Parts: sequence; structure tokens; C-alpha cells
Amino acid sequence: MSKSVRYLLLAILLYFSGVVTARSQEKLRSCDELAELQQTNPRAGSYYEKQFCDTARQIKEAKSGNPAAGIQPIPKAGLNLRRHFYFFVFALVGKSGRASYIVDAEEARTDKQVGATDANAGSTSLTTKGSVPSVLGFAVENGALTKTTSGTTITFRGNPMGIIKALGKTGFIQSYDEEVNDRTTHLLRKFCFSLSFDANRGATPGTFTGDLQQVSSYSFRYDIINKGDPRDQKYKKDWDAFLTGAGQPLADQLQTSLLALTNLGQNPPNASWKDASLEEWYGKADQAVSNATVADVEATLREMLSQVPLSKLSSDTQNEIRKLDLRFQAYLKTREDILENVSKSSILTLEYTNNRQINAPDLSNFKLIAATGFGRRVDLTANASFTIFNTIPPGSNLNRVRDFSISTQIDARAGQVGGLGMIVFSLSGKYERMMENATVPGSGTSMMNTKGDIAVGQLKLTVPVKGSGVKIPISLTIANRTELIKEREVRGNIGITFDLDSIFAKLKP
Amino acid sequence: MKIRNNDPLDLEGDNSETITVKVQSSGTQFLVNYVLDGAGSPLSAGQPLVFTLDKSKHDPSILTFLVTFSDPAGGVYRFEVTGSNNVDTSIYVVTQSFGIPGNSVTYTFDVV
Repeated sequence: MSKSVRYLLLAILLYFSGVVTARSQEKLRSCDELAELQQTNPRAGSYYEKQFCDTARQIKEAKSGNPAAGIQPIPKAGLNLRRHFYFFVFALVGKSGRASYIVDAEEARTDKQVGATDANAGSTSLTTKGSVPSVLGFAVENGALTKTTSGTTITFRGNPMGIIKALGKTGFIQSYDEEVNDRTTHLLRKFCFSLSFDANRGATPGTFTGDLQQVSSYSFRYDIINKGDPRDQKYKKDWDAFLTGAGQPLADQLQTSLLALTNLGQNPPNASWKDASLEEWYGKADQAVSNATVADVEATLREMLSQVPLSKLSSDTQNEIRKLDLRFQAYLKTREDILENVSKSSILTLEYTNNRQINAPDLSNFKLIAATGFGRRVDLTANASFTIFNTIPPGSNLNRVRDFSISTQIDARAGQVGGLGMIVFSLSGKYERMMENATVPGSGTSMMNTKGDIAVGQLKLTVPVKGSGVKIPISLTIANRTELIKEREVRGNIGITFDLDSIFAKLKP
Repeated sequence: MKIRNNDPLDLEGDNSETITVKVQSSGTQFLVNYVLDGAGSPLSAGQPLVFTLDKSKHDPSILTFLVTFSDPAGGVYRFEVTGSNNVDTSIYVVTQSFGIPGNSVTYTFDVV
């Protein structure tokens, strides 16, 4: 074996040992870190991390109390088998080393359009996505895609019903439940709007003033089909089958194991473990957590869990853990299968956009947006649209139809990278047929011989940022020409988008 | 029915007392399974679970609930347990935090 090959193998070995170490550490990140990750990807984290942090949260809340809800603080609150048995057996299954499914990470949706469409002077989206924020999102994007002149576009996109509910007393979750029962509200929820501002327009070009002069486009859209929500009635049969086929066997096993492993079935009920080594550990853990301050609960619980006497567990206890393992696995897998089915569901949306031009007729664009998923990692979106002139200037021989286009985009979630969250790669292509000559922005002059075909390809990387619902899309676009110039064009675009749904859900559940 | 040790899951009831458990959900499909003394089924939304404590058969009575969250975030289940002898009302809330897929709680009814 040559020296270089040996070095290469060594490098690969070191790399993978680093990955394995990193993954082992990832199994139980701090709850603050997990919470931050979940702000950009609500499904981030392993099952074990989630159950651990949820349990730590419950104990902290018990210690702190909730005066608003009439719950008195219990500073010495510790472990409670009636409410934490699920977590402990889940942790034992996870720690037993058999259950890799417990450390599987969940993935997030990528089907939301927050920024501007490619008709604007600043955009990072060649293909428009099917879903929009339930409440409000906004984006700042720089660099045109098919326009000749680049600029900066600030877009506000949201759902009027979501905003009304958000400003009212109704919480984010409650509002959804009310909609299901109210047909009018449910119908109104299918409409949404966007308003884009071109910062280079108006009295002070380059400065965003938000006045009417800077409005470059506005749009309305209607969801014809959107089955991307697990609570949709479409999935009721699946959930019913889940309850019977996976939920009930786990519930049965949980009670059987609870009676087999603890003394809660004794008369009177005794909240202790039958397994001597487990009970010894549990007593110490309970005391440590009881004595911990609110700030120390997580670290104390983490430390105590690292001391679970797995090797000393009796064969009866290990048998119960094996039975629970099978039930947990079926339960989580069946739930995942339903969510995967949800993620593959189709979205069909109709969007109308009015593009306000300077010294030229405004344009109306009608776009049909279709989207579907292929499993949990890949989404496919397709657009078909045509644009008409709102008015034909007197004496002009313009046709009413300005252009038509089709485009498609594939989004692939690349996985969690460091503390950033889910990075998404997108590949998009667009064909546009210019039926009329393009107009020079600002002057309104028609540019001769600009009719024809425009083909555009785009590679995009969307990077979430630590914090609340923030993403940075960075794209590289190659076009055979722009609307005004018949020459090949390569452009880099960057933006920043904010989806306020996740923040709102946290502030006002 | 009485709450013991300031724990809404640690309950005490009279023999032949009728117990009613109401479960409400928010932000999730209603996905609830229960097991009462070894027998159970999925619980339908809006349908309370009603049973009578029988010291000769089960003492204590053990009631286990498994709740599942259909969404990645934001689900809540609220349990309200009352007895026909009307002493205490036990309220317990299971909140989905950190995106947990589900959770389970167990009530014990010491029959006196």
C-alpha cells in the first residue's frame, strides 16, 4: 500500500471517527440548542432528545409553578412515575443500544414561498412555491433573475385571516381548530396576499420607505388543493388505523410494563421500581432532581441518566424493555409513515400578480403552482403562467399577451449542518416565451427585437440561521439572455427571509 | 374522589363511585388510547370515559392514557377527572414541547 493511500485511509478514518463522535454528542444536545434548532425546523432533533427536554421542562414548570394558571410552585418537585414512566422506559429502550430509530432526526417542510417571484428586480426564486406563511413572512432579496436591471425587493407575504387571528385574542393553535369547524373561516384561510417594494423606486432611491411609489407588485393567491397538514380530514382514516394498529398495542404494553416494573399496582399504590438496581438509581436521581434549582434541572437529569445501571438490570426488566422496544418502534414508524404521506401530498394554487411598471403598462400575471413531495427529503414544484398587458397604449400595435412560461424546481434537504439546521439544495429551470418586445424600465421605451425565448437555470442553497424563522437563500442563475439583452448572463443572488409562523406559535400557542 | 399528595394523577375514590374522565385536545388530531385495568381502546373526541370503581375487582384501579401528537409542534391534551361523590376535580395537561410525538400518563385510583 503506498504512503499516499495510507494517508488517505487514515484521513477517512479520522473523518468518520469525528462524524461518529459528533453524532454521539448530538444524541443529547442541550435543550436550549434543540429549541433554537426547532425555531427554524420544528421537527429537528431525535426522539430521545425531545422526550428528555420535554421531561426536564415538566419538572422545571412544576418547580416554578404557574401563578396565572393557579398552579403553585413546588420547589422540591422531582421525578414522578405516574407522569414520567413513559420517558424512563423510552430512555431505557434508547439507551439499550438496540433502538436506532430513537435517534433518527425528523425533517421539515420546504414548500413555503416567502420572498418575491422572479418578475421582480430582486428575487431568489425562479419557481414559486405552493405554500405561504400562515400568518406573515417577509423577505429582502437582491438581484434580478430574468430582468435586466437588478435591484432590492422587500416582500411581505401573509394570510389575512391568520393576521386577524394573530392580532386578536385567539392563539395560533386555537385559531386552526376554529377554522376546521367554521366553513367561512376555513375558506378565507385559503386566500393570501403579498406586497413587494422596490427600494430603488420613489423619491429616495436606495432607501426603503414603504410608500406607494415603491410598490413594485402585489399578488393574491388561492389554494385550490392543499393537503399538507396532518390535521386535514383526508388523513382521519390513517390516524384511526394508527390508533387501533399501533397506539393501542403500545398503550396496552405501557400498562402491562408499568405493572410489571413498578409497584404502582400495589395496594396502596407505591411509586417505586421493582428492580432493585433501578430503584436504587431512581431514588438517587429523584433526590438529586428534587434538590436541583430550576436552572440545574436539565444538567442534573442529564447526569443522572448517564448513571442508569443498564448492565445490572434484572432479566425481567430487560424482557419488558424488549417488549416495549417493539411497540415503540411500530408506534413511531406508523406515525412517521402518516407524516411522510402528508409530506407527499399535493398542493395546487392559483396566483394573480400585478406588476407595476414605471412609464409602461402594468402587467398581470396568472400562475398555476403545483407541488408535491417525494418522501421526506425531496419536493417537486412546477409553475405555468402567462402575462398580459393591463392596458394597450393608444397607437401601439402590442398584442395583449406579453409572455408565457413554465418552470420546475426540485428541493432536496441536505441534512443538519452544525448548529445551523436543515440546509436545502434546489435546482430549478424555467422557459419563457416573450411574445412582445420588452420595455426599458423607467423610460417605457419598447426595446426592438427582444421577442423570443429565455431559458434560465438556477442552483440555490437555502441556509437557516440560528434564531427565529430566518433563512438565507443564495442562488446562482445562468440564463441564455435577459429580457432586454440577448446575451448569456450569469448572476449570483442573495436574500434573507423571515417566516413568523414559528415565532408566533411560540409566543401565542 | 380525592386528590392525594397534591398529585392530580394520584387519586382516591369510594367503592362504587362513578369516575368521569373528559379529554380535550387542541392543535392536534384527537389521538388518544386508554387502558383501564388491562382493557382499553381508542377514545373518540368528545366522548368521556365513564367507569365505576369496584374494590372487589381492582384496587387500585389503574388507568393509562397514551396521547399522540399529529403535528410537529403545538399540541395540547387536557384531562379532567371527576367523581360522582364530587370532592375534587383533577386537571392535568399534557403539552407537546420540543416536538415529542406522544406521551403517556397513568392515574391510580386507590379504592377506599
